Amino acid sequence: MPMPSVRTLTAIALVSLLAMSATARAEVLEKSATVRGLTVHYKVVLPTGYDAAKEYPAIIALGGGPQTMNTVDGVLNRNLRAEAEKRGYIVIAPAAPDGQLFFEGGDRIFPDFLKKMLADYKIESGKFHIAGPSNGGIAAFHVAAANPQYFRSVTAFPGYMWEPTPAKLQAISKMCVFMYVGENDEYRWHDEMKREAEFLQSKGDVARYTVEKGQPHRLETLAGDKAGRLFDGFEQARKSCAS
Amino acid sequence: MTSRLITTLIFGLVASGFVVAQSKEWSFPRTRSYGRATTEYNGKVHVVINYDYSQRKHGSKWLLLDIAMSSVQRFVLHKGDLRVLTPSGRELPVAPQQALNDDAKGITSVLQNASIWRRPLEMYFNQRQMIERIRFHVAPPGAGTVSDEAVVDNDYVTMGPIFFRTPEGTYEAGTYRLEINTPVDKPALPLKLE
Repeated sequence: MPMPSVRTLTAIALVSLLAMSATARAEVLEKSATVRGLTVHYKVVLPTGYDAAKEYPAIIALGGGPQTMNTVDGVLNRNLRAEAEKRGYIVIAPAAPDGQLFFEGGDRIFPDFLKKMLADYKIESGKFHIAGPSNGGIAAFHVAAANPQYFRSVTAFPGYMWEPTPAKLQAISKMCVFMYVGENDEYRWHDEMKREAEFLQSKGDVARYTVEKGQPHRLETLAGDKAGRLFDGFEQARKSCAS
Repeated sequence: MTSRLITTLIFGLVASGFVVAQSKEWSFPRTRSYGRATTEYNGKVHVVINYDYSQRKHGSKWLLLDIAMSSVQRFVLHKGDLRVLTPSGRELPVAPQQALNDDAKGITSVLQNASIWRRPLEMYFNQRQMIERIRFHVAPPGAGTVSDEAVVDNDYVTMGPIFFRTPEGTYEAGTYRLEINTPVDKPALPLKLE
């Protein structure tokens, strides 16, 4: 059997490298960084065909409950990853450092963590969308209010502003705000979420409060093949909420 | 001189032993905190409690906490298996349903005020999609059926709100101790009231 030529071998190697590169781009990257003395573990979803030279819209995703990597995986797999890959979004999902929730001590990684992400990736308009379920939703509001210059929308499914004040709500008034809660949510966050949405609407802001019919705390109507609804909100924010 | 030294040493040893015994009694092994008022116990039984509301609002006779549990070894959790020890040593059992019925207005007020402080706990468990409700209380009264037992196993997250009641009418600030007496494990978790 004749030996393949050097040119053939080079071509095979190049094709293999390109194939491996394309596969790697479609995967979720697992990373860590030290921010203000805290080790932050985070995952990054890059869209299919990711090109580092191009700008992409980006989402900061925060997990529910303990906000550990386990719940980060949950929000990526249930709500954000597939649609982000398809629609061309970058998703960056940090886990709470040292078990410190992002609406308590863990919030001190911001805005430094955001600055690092802006340095590492080309983010559209230099602003993120921020989203999360439950504790992730509460944290999304909290982080956005403390760092409004970095965000163009907040999405909680469910969630609300932790210890709200007019100043904190005013801080997110230039963003699109999307709040979803299950009709049968046993924690009864409805009144607080509705009150905050109405406050923002009274200021002329884009704030949408949606009760998901028949749903409990964990919303199936925004998961799996229905997760596109979350991205419809991000798309709206890209068009009409850029400040 | 020698006898005084020995006496001092003995006193010292006894005193340090007492301190060790005390700190051992109130230590909380296998626990981890998430934020200010969510604590996890990871032993043969997996327990997570949240008491954000009670941590800040403990000026009434009611202490509300949410609890969630799972266990590789199945067992039946009884209402009488839980108790809270106060810093002064008082032991508080889970409040009887009749006490909630007698103060329906107070309980409704606690539930309304606590709603934005309460945290879903199923996310701390891999079994998060399967929920078994603890129904030691019906709150507000009249809204369901009471059961003094709940099955804890590895397939479900067994969870629900628990009310304690103090005859003193209010809770002093300090570290309280929640003890759960199960056939599988004896978890103890801190409740830090501010």
